[in-house]
Parts: sequence; structure tokens; C-alpha cells
Amino acid sequence: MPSNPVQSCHTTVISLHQSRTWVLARRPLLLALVLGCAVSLGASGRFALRLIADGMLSFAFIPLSALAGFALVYRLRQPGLPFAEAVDRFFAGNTPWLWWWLAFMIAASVIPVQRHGEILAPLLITSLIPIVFSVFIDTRFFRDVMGRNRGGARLDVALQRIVAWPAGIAYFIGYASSSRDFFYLFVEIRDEIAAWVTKWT
Amino acid sequence: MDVTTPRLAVALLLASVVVGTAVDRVPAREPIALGGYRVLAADFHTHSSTWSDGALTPWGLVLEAQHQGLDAIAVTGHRQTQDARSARWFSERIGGPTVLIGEEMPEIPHHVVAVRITETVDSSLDVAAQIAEIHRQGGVAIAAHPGPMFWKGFEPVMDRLDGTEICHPAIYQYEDAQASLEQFAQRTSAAAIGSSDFHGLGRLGLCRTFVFARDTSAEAIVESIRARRTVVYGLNGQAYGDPELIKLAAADGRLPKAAQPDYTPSALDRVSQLLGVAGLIGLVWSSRRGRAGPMESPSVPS
Repeated sequence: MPSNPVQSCHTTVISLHQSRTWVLARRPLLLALVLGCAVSLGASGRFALRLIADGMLSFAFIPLSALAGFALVYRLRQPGLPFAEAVDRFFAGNTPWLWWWLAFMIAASVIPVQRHGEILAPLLITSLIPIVFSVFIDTRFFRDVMGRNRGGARLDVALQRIVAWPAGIAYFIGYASSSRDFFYLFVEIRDEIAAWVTKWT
Repeated sequence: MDVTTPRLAVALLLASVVVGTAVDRVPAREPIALGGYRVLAADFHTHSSTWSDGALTPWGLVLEAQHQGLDAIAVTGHRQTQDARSARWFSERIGGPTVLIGEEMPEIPHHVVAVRITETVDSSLDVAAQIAEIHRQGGVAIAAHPGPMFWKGFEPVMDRLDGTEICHPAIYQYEDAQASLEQFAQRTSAAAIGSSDFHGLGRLGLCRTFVFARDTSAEAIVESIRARRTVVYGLNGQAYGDPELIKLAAADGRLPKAAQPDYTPSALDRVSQLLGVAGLIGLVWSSRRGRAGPMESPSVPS
């Protein structure tokens, strides 16, 4: 029996924080947690454990596909930095997305439920902000942390996106969707944005 | 090294989840019987996340249906029924709502929701053949959000539809949406259907159908749709469906109230929202690159 359970617990927590597994998982888990919270708030207006957990499970494919894309680049470049720490640094580039999801949560809390559909078009339009910002951040990452030159860093960002984004989108739309549905998805997005812009201008 | 901010953030988020979870209860409801039928609140157009573009898993959808006071849901993934089967399996085990297996066929000129089918319908078939196949499998075909852009696509099958969505969340978003859905419904003798088309935003059952069924089974629900024994409440509480049942429901008073749940956040909901958002802001702030705290191990150089 430990002589000081509180100190023993504290030591265990510190050890966990310093473990490679925690370093590898913490930022992807933060992303998943934010997504789970967004699902809970969007669907119920509160932070409920069952909905947060369910949302984290539903959207686990986002950090996983991002990780898969990064893992491919890491394997190709083989930098000196250990994989866990490289992943941790890379996922810090998701911060613009985390702020964007927070903005969505605030909107979902304020806008009446019956009008939540009106959030969709602004969500799509403003997604350009984190898309652009995270490209800049990730380019800096591949240059400064992974030791690539400017052209190489841009190539690595593109490679990571080429793996992560199609994989994530294909999974989200569903395995039964055809290429026609994929194209039509963009038609629907365009129509949704056009209808919103028409309504508010 | 700032450890206070992340610890405070985690504490705020935990408090938010405790409050939110405490408030997150399945509402107590008495079964409603009118005119010799069991009145079931149903949502026939929902999407889950596993193999479709929803935000909740199939089992999460079942639990949410319970929390939203629904007696039945059709899980209608795009061109697949796997999610619906998972949802039905789970719901049977927990004594949850009746889950009907369905799919949404999102063709370009029309979207058809098939409810209570046994296998996915070949999407290469034209709309008449799709509906014939749905009927062959014992299911019903519902016109999904039949706005003007879909009218031409439904022209060949106006007399073959079993249901048409006359209440859809679009009525709250676009001024002319309710009128458009009404206009389409007037041209068909299909049952009035209210569906949320829930993907994760808004509320499951925001628009719902009150089905007057002999019992709670999937067969009885589908039989009721075929017999047009449905009542739906649209914008401003306007009632659609079987005129006799509408009168019955109006005299009773419970259905119009049940159709328009009060989604206003309670005080505890607001507390959960504020604490949770504040906690997440703190966590995201602490996790910025180069920022020390529990998100950054002391051994990792900043």
C-alpha cells in the first residue's frame, strides 16, 4: 500500500504526461474532444457525456485521417524528431480549426434551434479561414521542425492533405456514394451558400 | 510554466459536463391513444455517422430519439441500410423506440426516402422502378423535402408516393418553403409526413409525424402511412393530414403541444454552455504551440 496515495497518484499523472503515448495522443484527443463537444452542443444545446462521447467516436476519422497523412510524410522524410513528438507538434497546427469549432459552438448556443440550418452556409464560407491559416502553420512546421526547405515544406503540406482530406471526405459521405454524389455535394454546397447570400443581401 | 490555466480549463469543462449530463434526461411521457389507435411520434428521415454523413452513431441516434420523446425513427442513410440495422439491433436490446430500416436515395432530380425495406434499392433504377422495388420489399416511399427543384423529378410518380414531407426544417429557414411543400402535397394523395432530416444540427424530431397505428411495430407504422393515418404540425402549428384525425387531435389538445417542444435552453443548460465553452477556450489557449502546461510535457522543447 503506498505510504502517500496522493503523492503516488501525482507521480503517476506526471509519468503519464511524460510518456510517449500521451505525447502522441494528446493533441489528436483534444481535436476529437472539441468535435465531440460541438456535436453535443449542436444536437442538444448542452454538454452531455453521452453526446460528447458519441460525437468523439463519430468524428474520430478526422484526427485519424490527418494522422495517416502525416505518418506517410514522416515515413518518407524520416526526420530526427521522434514520431510522437512530431505528431504533437504537427497537430498544434490545428489550433485555427479548434477556434473555428468554438465559434460554431457559440453560434449554436445563441441561434434558436429552428434556425440552426442558417449556420451551415456561414460555416462553409468561414472554413476558408482555418484552411488557409493551417496551411501557413503547417508549412512553417515542415520547414522549422522537420528541416525541409520552402519548396519541400509546401510539397509535404500538399502530400499530407492529399492523403487526409479525400480519405476523410470519402468516409464522411459514405462508402455507398458514387462519384456523381461527390460532385453533387459541391453543387449542394454552392446552392446553400448562394441561397444564404441571397437571403442576407 | 503556467499550469493554472489548463487545470482551470479542465475543471470548467468537467463541471459543464456534470451539469449538462444531470439535465440530460429522458422525458417522462404517457402513451397517447386516440380514436382507438396508439399515437406514435415518429421521425422518418434521419442520418447517422458510421456509414453516412450524420453526427451521431446509430446507437447515439437511438438514445437521442428517446431523449427527444420519439416512439419511432427511420434511419435513412444515403444508399445504405447498415446503419439502420445497427440502430435497430441496439434499440431492441435497450427497449428503445421502434427503428425502421430505410435509406435515402439522393438522386439529382429527386430524393426518395424508403422506409421499412429489407435491402438497399438499386440506385441505377428510375424513380418509378425504385418505388416499385420499395413496395415489393414491403416498404413505403416518401418524397423527401420536395421543393420546386425536385418537382419535375417526381412528376412520373405523383400517384405512387406513400408519403410526402410537408414539414421539414427548411420551413424555418426559407420563407416560401412551407408553401412549396404544401403545393406539392396538394398534387398527391400521399400521407402527410414531418421529418427532421437530422444530420446533427438542430434537433432530432424537430419536425415529426404523429402516426395513428394499431401498435408500435414497424408493420403497423407502415400500414398507418399507407392508410394515410398521419397528422403533422407545420409552421405556426398548421395541421396537415387526415382531417378526422386532425379534429380528434385538436379536441384532445396533447398532440399540438407535443409537436412543438420548447427548445429554449433552461438555466442549467446555459450554465453548462458557459462553463463548457469557457473550459474549451482555456484548453485551446493552453495547447497553442510553445505554451507550457499539462498539454506540453517538460521534456518536449518548445
